[in-house]
Amino acid sequence: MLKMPEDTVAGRDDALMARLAARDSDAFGLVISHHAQAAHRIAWRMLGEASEAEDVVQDAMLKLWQQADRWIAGGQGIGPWLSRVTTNLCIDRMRRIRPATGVELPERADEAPGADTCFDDQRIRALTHDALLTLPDRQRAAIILTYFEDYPNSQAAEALEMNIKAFESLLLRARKALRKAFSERGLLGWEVEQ
Amino acid sequence: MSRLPPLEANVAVMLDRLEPPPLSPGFADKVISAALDTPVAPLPRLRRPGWRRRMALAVIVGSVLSVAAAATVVPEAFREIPVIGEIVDWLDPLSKPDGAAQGAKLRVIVDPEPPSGKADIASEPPVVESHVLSEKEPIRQVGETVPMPSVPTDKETVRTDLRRARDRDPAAMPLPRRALPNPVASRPAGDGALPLTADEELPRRALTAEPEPDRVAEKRESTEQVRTPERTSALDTMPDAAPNTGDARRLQREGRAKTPVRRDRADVPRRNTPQPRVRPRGP
Repeated sequence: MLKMPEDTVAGRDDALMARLAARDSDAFGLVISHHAQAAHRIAWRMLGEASEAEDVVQDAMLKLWQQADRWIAGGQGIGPWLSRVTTNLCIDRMRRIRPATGVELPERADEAPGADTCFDDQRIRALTHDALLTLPDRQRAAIILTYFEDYPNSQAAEALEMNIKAFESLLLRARKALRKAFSERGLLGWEVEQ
Repeated sequence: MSRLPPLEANVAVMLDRLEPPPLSPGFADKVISAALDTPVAPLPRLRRPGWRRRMALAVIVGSVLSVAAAATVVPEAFREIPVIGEIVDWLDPLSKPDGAAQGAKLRVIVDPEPPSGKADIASEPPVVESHVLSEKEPIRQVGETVPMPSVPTDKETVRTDLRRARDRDPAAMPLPRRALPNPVASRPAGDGALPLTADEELPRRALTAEPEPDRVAEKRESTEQVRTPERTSALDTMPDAAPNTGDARRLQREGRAKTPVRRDRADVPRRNTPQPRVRPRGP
């Protein structure tokens, strides 16, 4: 994970955004190199597809480029803004996909060989990601922002445009649902056995 | 800080296995080229207040400040509610129906006595100059005004004056109306010409007819004839004489003149006067 001091990152981001407002493509390249990977992690965990995740990150970066002259310096930096935009873009994309299919996405068939014959990491990752994708969109986003991106609850609630009480309630429900999904796939028992 | 307990260890271990794949190579260049290809709409220019808005704001602020200053400096002006009647009286005092007040606001200027040469001619009506009193003129001027003299305007006086003036200088006075030549009146009825129509006959008769006698003047003259000096002295000696009526003259001829019975006015109760209930006792 990319972890930098908040104040330093915020100050650097303000300077970069000032250059973006002047349509400096080099500064835009720096912004992409600093923040695109974090946005891609969020998008990939939300969507489960690398190509779709890249599309979402590209859309978020283009939005940052177009709105660079409206940037208000002194905020929390580009990272929180980009996380919020990426999360919302992922939720919007998933909502567009589901009405097109007409029904909820069915659970993926377990195409891997039996657990007793193949216990490699790839299969465990696939099962874990499958369990994560079974969560509702906002519950998944709450797990991703708080656990993977290590956001505090207040910042994650702000990214999801919720108050802190509602977000904590949402996070509890997300954890309960994730545990249930893991247990249904036998992941917790296998982990315990390990 | 989160008040929630941390995620369970076995769940966290499973989530830690979810390592995302790296971004595809050339992702940054692709995004930069897409950004450079995307036209950026220029932001709308910030509107600065133009001179019209500044002027309007200045006028509004000035109005508000003047009203506030007037309300602060002259608070009495807002305690008296103007009444339309007072304003109308102030503008046009003659429209006030009160005669006394109207007379008080008029200054009557009477010419001095006419010269001796015109003494026999009725004096001209006095010149009345209307004058509106200003606020600073004292009201005591009302008491100093001269009452308006009565102007003789009855018909008989006017006719007498005209007759005297005509006798004195006939050339100065206009001709009487009946002396004016009228083709209809001068045209004889049976001169062989075309007969007069009904519309022409009526004015011809009116103009050719004898003028109506001046009954008032005749009556006055007859009265003056009756009141000869001899008769006047005789009439003055008969204070209880009967009036000069037909019945009185007939009774006078018959030698039994009817003398009206004079009653003491004190005996006749006045109308609407309550009668005394108790008669006064005699001596």
